[in-house]
Amino acid sequence: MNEEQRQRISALCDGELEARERLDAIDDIGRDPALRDTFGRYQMISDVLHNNYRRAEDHALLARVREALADEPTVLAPPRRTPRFSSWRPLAAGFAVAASVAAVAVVGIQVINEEPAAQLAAEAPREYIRLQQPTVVAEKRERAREGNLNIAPVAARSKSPLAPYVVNHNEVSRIPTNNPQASGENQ
Amino acid sequence: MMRRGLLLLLALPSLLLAEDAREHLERMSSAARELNYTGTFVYLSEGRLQGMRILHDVDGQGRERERIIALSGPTLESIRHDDEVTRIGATRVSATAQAPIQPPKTVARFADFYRIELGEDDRVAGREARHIRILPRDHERYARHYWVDADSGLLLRAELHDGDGRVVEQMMFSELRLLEGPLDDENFDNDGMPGVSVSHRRHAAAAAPSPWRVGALPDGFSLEGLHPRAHGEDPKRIEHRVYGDGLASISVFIERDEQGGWQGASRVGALNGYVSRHDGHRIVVLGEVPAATVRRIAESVTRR
Repeated sequence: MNEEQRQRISALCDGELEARERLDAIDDIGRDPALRDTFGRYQMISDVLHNNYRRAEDHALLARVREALADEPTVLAPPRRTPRFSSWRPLAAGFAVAASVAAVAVVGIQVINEEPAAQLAAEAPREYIRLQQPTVVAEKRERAREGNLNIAPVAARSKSPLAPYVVNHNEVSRIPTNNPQASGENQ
Repeated sequence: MMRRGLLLLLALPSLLLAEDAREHLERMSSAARELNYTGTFVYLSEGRLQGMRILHDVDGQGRERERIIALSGPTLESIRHDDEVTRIGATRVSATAQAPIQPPKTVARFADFYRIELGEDDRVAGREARHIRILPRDHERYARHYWVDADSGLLLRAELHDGDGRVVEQMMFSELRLLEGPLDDENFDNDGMPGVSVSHRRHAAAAAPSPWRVGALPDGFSLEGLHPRAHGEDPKRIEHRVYGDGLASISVFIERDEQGGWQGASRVGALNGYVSRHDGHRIVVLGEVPAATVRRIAESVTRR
């Protein structure tokens, strides 16, 4: 995978390619597992940017994600802080940790299983190609060849209209935190 | 007087057991964060079975590190350093704040609403485990069962039961290794995979005035967080409130929605949801509480 291909995939995810280029990019993806992998990750990031609820003040995070898009494979390293463990620990926070050791990953799993609600997808239409499903890629390629340049979002399959709310609920209610500084503030 | 003393004497063993159960709970909450361990567990919800690997330690600087890797299904990982979570492979991530913790959030907080009992000793992942039952005293919440490692205090198995006694969510370790010291740093590198970092620093419940009132909260639930959210690129505001009773959480989302659309009850895994409308707004209530509870809450939301 060269830099040019990488750029093209990034542009594909951003919907910035002409029809011809788009076909080429999709062909490349079909042939090259590494590109497929990259595309999957870009798609994920793109998804984050466009389809999800966010806290209103999270533009800084978005900026970081965008930078990463431009500069893959930069790792979005979390800022390192050095909190110390405090002797006071809210037990329920511990419950959140223990009772849902799985929760962090589960959020993601639910997210994968619950496709975005149709309505949300319609509000932010995006190309969305699931790479685990090559048939979808092929189908989209066919449609593109037919001259349908605005590839319709195929993300509109929805198991539950509540999916985006579930993600947000899980984020605030189940992901463990143990930042003693924060808990100190609340004391 | 004597009779009262006798009753107390009879009640003593069960009181001691409850006290014992509480101690296990207290220990469980710290063990998960303070110990160094690796393990494999399965998670089952909605008939979906998922295998996961977990690595957890506290590094030399006292920083908690955790990596969870999905062993089945789509590639999915999360790496956590304290409250900074980096997710790799999830198709969708949301960046949200963590609900603030209201002190004093101890067993005492939920003991009024749940009965805590010690069950029979059991075995999980080849280890001796204490079974703790946390049973609701009313019909507004679910029962939880925990199996806690007798040796380390780590949670080995957990079940969430709905009002009919059905297990709606469960996890169980199949293998667990406790370590003397922290793991090598490489275990928490994300191998150059770009992930999405989300900070879960707690935000105090915002004091911002809200025109909305939630009328019918069950006893014991109090506001833990108020999160303003944006909807995609659209600056449309969504009010997200989080209520908790010390164990269960309920989210109330209130957003402007002129078009109307789908209303009613829905269920996602262990969560019940209800969508209602009021005064040009959509109200969505979600929580690991019974369907009747989320519905009643949703229908009680009014504008001042």
